[in-house]
Amino acid sequence: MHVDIKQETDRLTMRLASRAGDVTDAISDLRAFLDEEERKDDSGLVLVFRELVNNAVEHGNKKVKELPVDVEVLRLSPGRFRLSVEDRGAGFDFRSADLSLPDDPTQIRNRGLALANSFADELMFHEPGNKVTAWISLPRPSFFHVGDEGEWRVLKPGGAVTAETADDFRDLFADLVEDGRIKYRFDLSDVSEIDSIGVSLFVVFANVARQMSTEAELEIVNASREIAKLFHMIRLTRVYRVRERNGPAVEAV
Amino acid sequence: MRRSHAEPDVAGETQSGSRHILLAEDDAGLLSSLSFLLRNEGHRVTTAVDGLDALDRYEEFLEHGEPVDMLITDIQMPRMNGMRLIQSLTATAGNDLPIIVITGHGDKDMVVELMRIGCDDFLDKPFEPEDVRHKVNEVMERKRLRELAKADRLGEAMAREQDMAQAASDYKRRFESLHGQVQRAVGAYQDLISLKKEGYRVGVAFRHRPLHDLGGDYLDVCDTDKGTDLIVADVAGHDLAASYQTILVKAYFQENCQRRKDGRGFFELLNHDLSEGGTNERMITAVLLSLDLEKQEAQVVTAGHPKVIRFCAADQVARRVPGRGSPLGLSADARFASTSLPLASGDRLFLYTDGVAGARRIDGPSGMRSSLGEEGLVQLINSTAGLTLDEQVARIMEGVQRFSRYKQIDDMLLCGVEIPDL
Repeated sequence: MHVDIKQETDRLTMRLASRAGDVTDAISDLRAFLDEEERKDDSGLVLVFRELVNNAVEHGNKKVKELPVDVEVLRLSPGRFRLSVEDRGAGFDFRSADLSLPDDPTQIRNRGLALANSFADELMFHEPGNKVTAWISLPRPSFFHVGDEGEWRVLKPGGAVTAETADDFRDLFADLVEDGRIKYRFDLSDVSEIDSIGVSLFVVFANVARQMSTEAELEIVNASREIAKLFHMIRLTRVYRVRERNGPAVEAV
Repeated sequence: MRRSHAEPDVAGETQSGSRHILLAEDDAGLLSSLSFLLRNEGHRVTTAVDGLDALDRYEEFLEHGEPVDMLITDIQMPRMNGMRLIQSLTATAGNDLPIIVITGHGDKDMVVELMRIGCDDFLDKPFEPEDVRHKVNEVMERKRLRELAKADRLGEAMAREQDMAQAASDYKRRFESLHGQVQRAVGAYQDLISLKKEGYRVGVAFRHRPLHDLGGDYLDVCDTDKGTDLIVADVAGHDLAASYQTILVKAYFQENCQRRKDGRGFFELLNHDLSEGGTNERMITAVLLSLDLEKQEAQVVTAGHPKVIRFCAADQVARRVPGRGSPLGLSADARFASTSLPLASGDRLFLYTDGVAGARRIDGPSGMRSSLGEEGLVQLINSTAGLTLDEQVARIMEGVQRFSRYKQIDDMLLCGVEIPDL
């Protein structure tokens, strides 16, 4: 059992002995520190935690169990964390560390740092390399508000419509096109980002809606300037009437 | 004949049908008549005067390798009653030992509990010798059948497992054969779209980092009578349909190389054919660069694609080439525009896909996302200007990967072209 666990509302500090059992216990404490919503999809955080702490125990402290590993988990905001791990070793040449994941999956066994890097927003090593700080964001669930405004069915995505969230949205899209409805309005007030995958979702939606009725009307409202520009550039404005936030229609259909 | 202890048989064996029975009864009269009865049947009987005594005897014979085959016990006994005896025995011996309980008036309500803790049957006082004989034989027969069934089930389980192992190996072989076919298809696809790096009229260098084996970004180069044509296309998706579309683009491009339709006409034709059918859910963005080395001029046609970047040898500055157009496959009657630019020896032109300019990073502390953008790429080109074309392309790619902290979410393709002495 490791000693010195201190848990405040948004900050957890631990000192572990360099022992495998302590690492497992520490992960339980980490989970206990998360709230219910965070625990639903915490695997990224746990992975980074495990890799960095194991590294500290095995490579930093060379498994000498008397040497401690100091860990701090700070909640920056719901679902966003800063993790610091420090060992008593001599450090290593972190600038030469290869953080890319190999193409061959059988090689992943030796790439703890690369794995941690791929699940963290940012990894930062401190001289001489016996301390590392990682920032991790837990994935936010995609959601969609669906409502009606007169003849218009209004659809409001809850966040970025990008490669990461596209699958969720694609599933939601499938249920959206209803028989008889011909007017659809996307409210992009909460959408800061759309990438090419996200755009293709709008293309698909337009195709499906128009197949159901050639009279289908499609609108996008409250788009950010960048997103309005994007729609214009790829000529989706021929299919959707696009209105910027605080602005007139970009182009009439 | 009275015997106070069972005499050990030869080497602890019992004759067929005859069992070693442990009899626990505190009533001396009942004890002696029961043991007489059982010995008459040919069984070996060990007697005990209460529960504790029975437990001791049980353990003793177990140690000497002459285990007890059955327990017959009364309930009310001093020091340790029948219930406790059964509980102790089943705790150590498990549920294998057949147990018959002698019940008297008033013990009936314990029957359910007794069954639950492992008792097999009951002898109800008063009983006849016949009853005892029958009960013992019945219980032993039930045990024998149970054991047979267990052996059967075991046999069945083993047979099932063998079947499953065989089925698993059949499935594995089929998977491996299909997997092999897919790998060969992937190989064929990659052969179809592979591109040689040199031997063109202009210098060409490229780096491609696809996300998957199929689909992804596409680059093709072909020399023409006037110079060289290049196309970069970004097909959405990584499945077989995406691969099919990529092959379609390649086929049209190579055909066009021969026919020499101008860039706009070529895109219009490709776009029309891709949009046909109306079931097309994918966009293809593409850029076509036609180099005319005689006229020292280039034509750029863009279909919703990131802008070509031109590095002028004269002022050593990289700039984006203006141009816009609809992606291919969105609507059948789309029109495309062409941009002209002059060419000079030593100029370099860069074509790339969204995965490069769209490379993203997240700032740890704030969680803010930022992308490299075309501007970021321009800076990378400027900062690697003095190198050979191939070195420069490699360094730019490294820079892009470093920017995105080695996390790749899209296919990446970067192609550099160098204009030779004209």
